[in-house]
Amino acid sequence: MLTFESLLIMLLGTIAGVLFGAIPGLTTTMGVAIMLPITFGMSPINAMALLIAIYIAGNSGGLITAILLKIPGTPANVATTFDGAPMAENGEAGKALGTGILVSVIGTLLSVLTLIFIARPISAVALQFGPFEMFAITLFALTLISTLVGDNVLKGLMAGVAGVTLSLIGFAPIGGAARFVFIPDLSAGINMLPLLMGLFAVSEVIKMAAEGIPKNEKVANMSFKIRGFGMTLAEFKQQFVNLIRSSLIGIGVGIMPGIGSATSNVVAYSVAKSQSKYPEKFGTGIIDGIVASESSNSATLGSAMIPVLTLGIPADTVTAVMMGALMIHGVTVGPLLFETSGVFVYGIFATYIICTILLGVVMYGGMRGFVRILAVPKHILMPLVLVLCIVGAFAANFRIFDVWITLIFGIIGFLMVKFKYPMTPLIMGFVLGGILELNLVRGLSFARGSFWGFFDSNIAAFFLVASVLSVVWSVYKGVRDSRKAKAAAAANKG
Amino acid sequence: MMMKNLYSNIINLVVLLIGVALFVSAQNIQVGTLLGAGSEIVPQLMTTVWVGLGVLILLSGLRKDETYGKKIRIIPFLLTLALLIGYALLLRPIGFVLVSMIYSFAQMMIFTSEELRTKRNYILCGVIAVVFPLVIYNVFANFFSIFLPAGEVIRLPFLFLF
Repeated sequence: MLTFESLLIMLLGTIAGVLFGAIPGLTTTMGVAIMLPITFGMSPINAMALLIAIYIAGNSGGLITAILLKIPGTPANVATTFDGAPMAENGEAGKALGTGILVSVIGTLLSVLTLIFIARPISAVALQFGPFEMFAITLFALTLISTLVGDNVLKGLMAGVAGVTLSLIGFAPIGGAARFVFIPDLSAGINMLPLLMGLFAVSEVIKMAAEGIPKNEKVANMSFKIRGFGMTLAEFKQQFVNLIRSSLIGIGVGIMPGIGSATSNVVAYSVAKSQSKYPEKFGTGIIDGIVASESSNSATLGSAMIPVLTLGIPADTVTAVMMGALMIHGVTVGPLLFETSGVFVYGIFATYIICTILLGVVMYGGMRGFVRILAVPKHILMPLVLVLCIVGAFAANFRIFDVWITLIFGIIGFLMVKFKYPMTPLIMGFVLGGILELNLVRGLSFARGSFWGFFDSNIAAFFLVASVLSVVWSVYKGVRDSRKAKAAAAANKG
Repeated sequence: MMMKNLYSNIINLVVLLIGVALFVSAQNIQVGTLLGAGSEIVPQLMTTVWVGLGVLILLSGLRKDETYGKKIRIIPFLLTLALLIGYALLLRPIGFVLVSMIYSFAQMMIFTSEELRTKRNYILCGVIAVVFPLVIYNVFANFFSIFLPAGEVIRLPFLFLF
């Protein structure tokens, strides 16, 4: 299975991923979406190799800008700036970068080991699930994402509902009736790729036109040198507990849908600070902060694939794209995957490990090159990104209609960002809409039309109650925070 | 307060109106006795929730005083939208390579800030805008067997580089 071709694909994917992660304005999701059309002609495992390489490398690429420019390349690197940037200012950029790479590699490997050991038992349990359980778990994932992402829970839920509704366009999978087919081109539904390209890439181009292009920051410390792995053996031993604890936080967070590395790095940083013997030094430029942030954000990468492979439920936008890619390649994810495509699943595990090692090699070896590419002017880069999006949208089905869909969702994405409607629930709703509908309709059929039949299953009942509670809790929290903010504003005025 | 949130209230209203339109459409899904049974359940459920959420968001938006990021630079924004629409309209008639060259260069010019308006930058943008679409066209055609529109009205004579 491991060929020279697949190794080369992983290497190119790793380089592309680091760039997408490192260049502010480009994102890992954008990278995966743009590369998706290229995978059409590949075997499923090579396609996944490319996407996984971008996913893993994108996460770590962001640490370069976080340390050298004080701008997190991705939301997963926010906490890396807290100590990484002060280290660069103190002339320790090389040490910060080296440490970041090392703990990223270790965090990802620990996460992949978890994936390897946990995925199969979970899928064995999931095999027992029927439509009641699958509907309830999917609904729970969707409500959790919708309520956790963004500032306004109502807008999060609205984005999730809009995503599910968009997935319904076209002919129904059960029954076959046409829904929301206002023009003939919509009869086949909306393709995921143009939708993604529009939301994540075209919207960024429109945003830059509307708000002005961010100036290229000068790299704070160009004269860095990475010695060895960045940190000494003594420092590694000293950081060992922090490393393992932060990785475990990342692994735990990664499995939960919708939370992901954007949260895990901040949580792990806070825990490391609270558990430290010298919390006052955090933020001044110590490696503890980088170890916590980078190991935890990388540790979400393997565990985020657990719900994808075992239940067919993505944990974040990138795994949602990967799930879409698997569907395009005719691979059905879910509990049966281990039974029907066992070799393929173990191929994914192997790919994860190889990509992680390649990430270390590429980042240690090519750091200087990556830093130089950071200086590519955005006014040249972004139009080229848009051209690639048009290529991707057209190549999905060879239809100009899909190019229009890309542009329309570019405008919708821009408006969503501007008016604070989160995009992640929309993507998740779009990906999960089909599963949700299929299992709801099947479940209702089993329960002879009564929704209460879903509560006959304890697992389904648990997740349905949890879904309701997550919405109720989020609304309560939103109202409470809003009242607190008002009271604080009033106190300030007084 | 409402004037301050005018744009966000308009967006919230549009979201609600789309929901209402979809709700009406969902009530008219053609369900036969056998064919179509079950097809209407989720569309009706989702659009009902959409309308409910839409009303709540609109009402809470009318009461809140929010700020929404940077101010929009209206001319570059509208020019970019016009360019994107032109791109989609001309993609088939004049082909991917030519329309991408025109789009890339024009978009680069829109993005170019005052201090970068130099002869060197114009030449660099021009060269990249010409070379990039040609390379992409050839890479996709030769390596991935994906043929992008070559042009129906105008067709460049030098599309294939290798």
